[in-house]
Amino acid sequence: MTHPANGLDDVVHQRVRLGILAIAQEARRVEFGFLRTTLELTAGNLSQHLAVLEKAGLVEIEKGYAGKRGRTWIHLTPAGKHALHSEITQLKHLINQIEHTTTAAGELT
Amino acid sequence: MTDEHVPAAESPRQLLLGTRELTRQVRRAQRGAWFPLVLLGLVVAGAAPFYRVGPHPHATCTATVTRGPGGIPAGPGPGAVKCFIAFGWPAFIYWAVALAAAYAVIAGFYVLRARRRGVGARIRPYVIAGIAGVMLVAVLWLAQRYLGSQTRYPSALVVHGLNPLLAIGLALFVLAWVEHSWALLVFAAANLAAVLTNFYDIDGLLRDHGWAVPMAWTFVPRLWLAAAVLLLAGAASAAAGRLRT
Repeated sequence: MTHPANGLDDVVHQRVRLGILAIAQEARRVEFGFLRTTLELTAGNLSQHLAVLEKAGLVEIEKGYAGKRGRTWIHLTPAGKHALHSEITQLKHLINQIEHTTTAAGELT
Repeated sequence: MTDEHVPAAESPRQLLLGTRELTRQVRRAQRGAWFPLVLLGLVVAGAAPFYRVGPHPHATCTATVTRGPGGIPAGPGPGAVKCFIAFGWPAFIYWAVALAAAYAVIAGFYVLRARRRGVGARIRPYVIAGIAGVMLVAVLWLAQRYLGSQTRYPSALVVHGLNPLLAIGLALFVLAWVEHSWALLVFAAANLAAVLTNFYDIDGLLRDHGWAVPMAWTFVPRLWLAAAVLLLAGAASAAAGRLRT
């Protein structure tokens, strides 16, 4: 049997990037500023994480204007949706595995 | 910034909990049910004058009833004329136009709010359900007017021309679903139960308490009570939203 940790995607298995995917999944379309405030990041940090996700084809970044102000919107791609779903499933498996191991160890002592 | 690493045993759980909390934050930012509730409350309240203009069903309704012991109605009396209640053209046009316009305004409200807050909202299913409700109102009105029986179709459940309330009430379930709001779901269920049990048909209750409503105005307490319920729910929703932020 493969260990659930082997199924984790290095791109997604990271707090901020998982957060970006989760927000984008729920919102369908999310603005850069909302992500920055919600995740409590600097613009530079967020840009770096978005670049990683965009390069992996998990999000699409759309630049536009709202009046004179530039706006950046982030969408989840179908691959991003799949990656998020897969990561959540793997995390749940991992938690179950940890709990199972802890209980078994407790019974032995 | 560096990638955060938490102790191995806690990491998956913390990641999952963090993801759930972010989802909750997005949902809170997306919610705006107070607006449709208040707007639809105003639409319902504003319908009253349109029930009064044009031919009113009570003007031609001459049904009589026989009364049993204690004055309890026991069925149609001699000379009873089949009396069905349908609202006239002015009210029909009002509901069709006002509801369609209200759902367009609601869609606009959510779109503008999404732009301002920077987070999209899934309002399309609610607007589609609302527009479908407008069509339901039209079909029920035509059925009431041209089939002339209160017992053959669902509008019999919602007497006295209040089937637009049924349409509004059903669409609220979709709003509860798109907003992931249990409170709104409970309200939608209570409101629908009120519509289906004719809770808003209160003129008889008022008469029992000495508040006789003239026959030609019986729709006023019905509509205004329903409107008040929607407006209060809207106010409660707005207050709850303010408390959360």
